[in-house]
Amino acid sequence: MKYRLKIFLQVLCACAALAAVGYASSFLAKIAAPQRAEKKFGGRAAAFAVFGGYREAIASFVWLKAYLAWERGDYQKCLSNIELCVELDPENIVFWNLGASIIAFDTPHWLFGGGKAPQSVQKSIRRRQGALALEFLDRGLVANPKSRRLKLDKAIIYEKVFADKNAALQWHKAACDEGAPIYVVRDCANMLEECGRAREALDLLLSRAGSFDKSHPSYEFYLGHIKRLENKINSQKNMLAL
Amino acid sequence: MTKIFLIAKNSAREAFRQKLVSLILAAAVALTLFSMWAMKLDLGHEQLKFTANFTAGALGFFGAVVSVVLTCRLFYSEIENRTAATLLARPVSRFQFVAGKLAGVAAMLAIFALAVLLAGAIPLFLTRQKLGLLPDEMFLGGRPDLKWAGYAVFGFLQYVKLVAIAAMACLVCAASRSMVFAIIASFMVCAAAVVSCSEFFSGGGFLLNAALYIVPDFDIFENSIGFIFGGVNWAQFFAAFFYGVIYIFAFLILSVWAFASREI
Repeated sequence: MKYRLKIFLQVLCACAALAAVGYASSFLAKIAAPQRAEKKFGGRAAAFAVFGGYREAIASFVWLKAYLAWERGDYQKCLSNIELCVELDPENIVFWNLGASIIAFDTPHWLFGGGKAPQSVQKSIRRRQGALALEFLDRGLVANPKSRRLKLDKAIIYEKVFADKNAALQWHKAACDEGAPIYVVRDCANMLEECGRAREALDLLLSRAGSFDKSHPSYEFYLGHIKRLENKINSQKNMLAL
Repeated sequence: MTKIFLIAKNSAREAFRQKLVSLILAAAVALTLFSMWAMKLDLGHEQLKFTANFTAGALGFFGAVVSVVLTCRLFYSEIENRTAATLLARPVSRFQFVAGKLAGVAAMLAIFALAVLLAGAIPLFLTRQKLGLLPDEMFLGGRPDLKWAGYAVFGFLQYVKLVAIAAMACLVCAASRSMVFAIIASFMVCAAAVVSCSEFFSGGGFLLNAALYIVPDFDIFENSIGFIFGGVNWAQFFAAFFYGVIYIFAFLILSVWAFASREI
């Protein structure tokens, strides 16, 4: 009994000493890894976390499994593997981007059961899966707050699944930050135009025109877009004048 | 100091003879070189980062296995063969014995880390050459840069982490009675430290916070992979280095204390 008590006290003393060391050196841990609070492992991903740098490679293999399940239209396996992928490697935009598209646009067809379901049921399923995809993308944006691709994905889902152009416009605007490439600016301008804000669309295109490479082939289309909007606004003015 | 050096030299020599360690080293080097091929199966990762992660994986995963297995085997071989009793009958203190063993493991780990780093440099160099042939337009966020000094510092920090894991295994060995138990317990503590158990708990409270402080947070060393591409952040380097060194000495002192009260 005395021996066990001695062992217990020794373990207790060792734990107390380690806790003291841990407390005293915790400020060093905060300096060494300041952004660590953003990273969280889920249940299954924690088992793979010990593999350290191999996590990304494992995530790629898991994605292949998800892809095989996608080919068979296996809803549960496909989604659970996608979840594992993003838990293992939350910084990979491709997993979030493709995963959200699968959830929003592919899984409803698997759930319709060959298109026999009534239109109202199909619409309800589409909206439910769309909401799931938006929630999925929200988590992706927490891990990758600067990703334009994920913001555009949200815009596309709002537009195509929910037919909510104003919400889509908000996400197009969020993606259209300083330094956004030509196609993102044009997409945002298109959405502004669809929302009946052609003047704002033109202002946006004109304000960003100076920041693009003028020798790039897509710049011609950009100028064409400006021209078309100017003509549209002018013809609207002329109509009002008449 | 001479006695510690002699024990360390003997332990390192014994470590070289361990076939399991050579096997793990070969597997780690092969897998690191294999990263160029594995990239063909990859989806969406930046190529240089993917290659560097393979090196980090080899150092982190295989390195932890080598640290734990080697420390436990070297420690218990001395006790089971009764050479520890013979050694400690001479004017050799228990501190010198434990420190010598740890230094021997640290020497072997230095060779392991160096071999993996050199193997990892080959695919990194080749990938950079391959990317160098591509036009600038292919890189949306700018052409990725590779800093060899950062790579060396990253390797050094990973080595410090491995020595800290070995010191942790030393404490478990000094306190436990069987090698199998010591290996399993060391792996469990190592997994909790590498994954950072704080990732799994939420909430607060004194007891929970105290429990989180007991297990060191070796996840902080993973941050150093950023040095390979963004250059060395010296504040982060020194913080991680001293964090590792503090734990190495803390585990060493506790190992000596646990070993002192143990019957050989």
